[in-house]
Amino acid sequence: MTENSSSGNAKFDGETPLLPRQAWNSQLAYLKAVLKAKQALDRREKFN
Amino acid sequence: MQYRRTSYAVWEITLKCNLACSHCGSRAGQARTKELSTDEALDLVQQMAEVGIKEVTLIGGEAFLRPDWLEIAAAINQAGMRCTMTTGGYGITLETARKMKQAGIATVSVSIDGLEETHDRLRGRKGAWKYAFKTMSHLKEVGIPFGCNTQINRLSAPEFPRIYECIRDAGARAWQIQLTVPMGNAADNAHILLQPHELLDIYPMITSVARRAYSEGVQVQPGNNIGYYGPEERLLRGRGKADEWTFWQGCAAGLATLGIEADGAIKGCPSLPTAAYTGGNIRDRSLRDIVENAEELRFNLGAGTPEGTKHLWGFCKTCEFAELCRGGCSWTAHVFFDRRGNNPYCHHRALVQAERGIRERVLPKVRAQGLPFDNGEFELIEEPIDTPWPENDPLHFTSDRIQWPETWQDEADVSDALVVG
Repeated sequence: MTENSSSGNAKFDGETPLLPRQAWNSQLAYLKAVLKAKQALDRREKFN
Repeated sequence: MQYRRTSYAVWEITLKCNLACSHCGSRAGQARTKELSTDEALDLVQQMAEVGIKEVTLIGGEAFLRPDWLEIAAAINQAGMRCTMTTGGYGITLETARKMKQAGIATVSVSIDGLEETHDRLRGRKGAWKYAFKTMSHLKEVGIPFGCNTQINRLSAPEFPRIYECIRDAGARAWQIQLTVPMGNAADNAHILLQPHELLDIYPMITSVARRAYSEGVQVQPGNNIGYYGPEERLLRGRGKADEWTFWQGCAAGLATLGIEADGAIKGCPSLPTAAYTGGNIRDRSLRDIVENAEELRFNLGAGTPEGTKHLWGFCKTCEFAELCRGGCSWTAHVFFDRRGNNPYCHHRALVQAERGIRERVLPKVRAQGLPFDNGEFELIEEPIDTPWPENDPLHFTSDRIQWPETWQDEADVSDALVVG
């Protein structure tokens, strides 16, 4: 328990921080989505 | 080494305010009936540090109207988090600025929503503009780095380049920009909101001003409802660096951000509507419990699975950027249509619709109730792009209304040339 905390119901000592956290469960799926967006953006930029 | 924000909370420490902004999402003015006590606030500081928050931005209402605000600021620093502040800037004296420096407030963002007349009109108080710049001079004198933040709407947009000149000359190092959306008081003043189709004239202007700002050392920081995969996306999201891998990657509410209301209500982002997105109150549950378990703070989890895109509808459901974008800014989409997943304030969308010969406008359909962080509902109009613009719309924004400074002819020419549709 952090000494400065006066919370009666919080027990945080040693617990991993929750934030920031990832939206994506799979890093591979995330990278695929980023690549897909990058390619689409490249195409759009050429078009414009 | 440049500071990089990872996880942060925006904390409304009081709803009391000395301004009366016609675009205020929280309808600030009076304090909430049961705002957190000093002890509760200090306890929350510890809980924020423990869940992983690295930066806390104090906002209001007007944060400095809460008597213990500097005690809270100091506690945030002592807990190892960076303390910053966003203010309307009406009433920060030199003495207050000195106390802020002592309390460890690292940076301040002062709201500037137009040139003097427009700013005072939008902020509901004559003299607000002058005092905001006086506040900046006080911050400068005590050595607190400051930036500005500006709401872009039909009143401020024509003045955008000149607003930049004013804040640059005042010494602002950063400039956060955001489109005004229909939440709170702004929902009652829909005539000042940009129409989606008007984004086609807005973004070339923003880009021109941003290019100049980056070259002059002012970092333009696009807010969460700016851009989305238009031709200027990489420049704006990359904050002037135009990195090929830097572009919008989805709403971060509940992932990297928290929003805290003055009575202890916890949301994933400060701008989200209270009714639909409050995960709990720290008077009832620990912050850890709320962040870990409340569905209202977990809605952005599950990207890359069917669950991650099931909220999408309308244009956003069919968009080629859907999987990564996930409907843009949840707040912006929700306050237009009372549900997230279909964001009308998207540059890519406006461009694609224009290519299809379609123009989108929004019309108020359901009024907001009149509560802090509330929203009504709008109807989406899709019409042929060559349909005559509705009459009796004196604030209709087009590029020819932009007030370019006389010495900026190059920017004005480029901006005009980039307008589509």
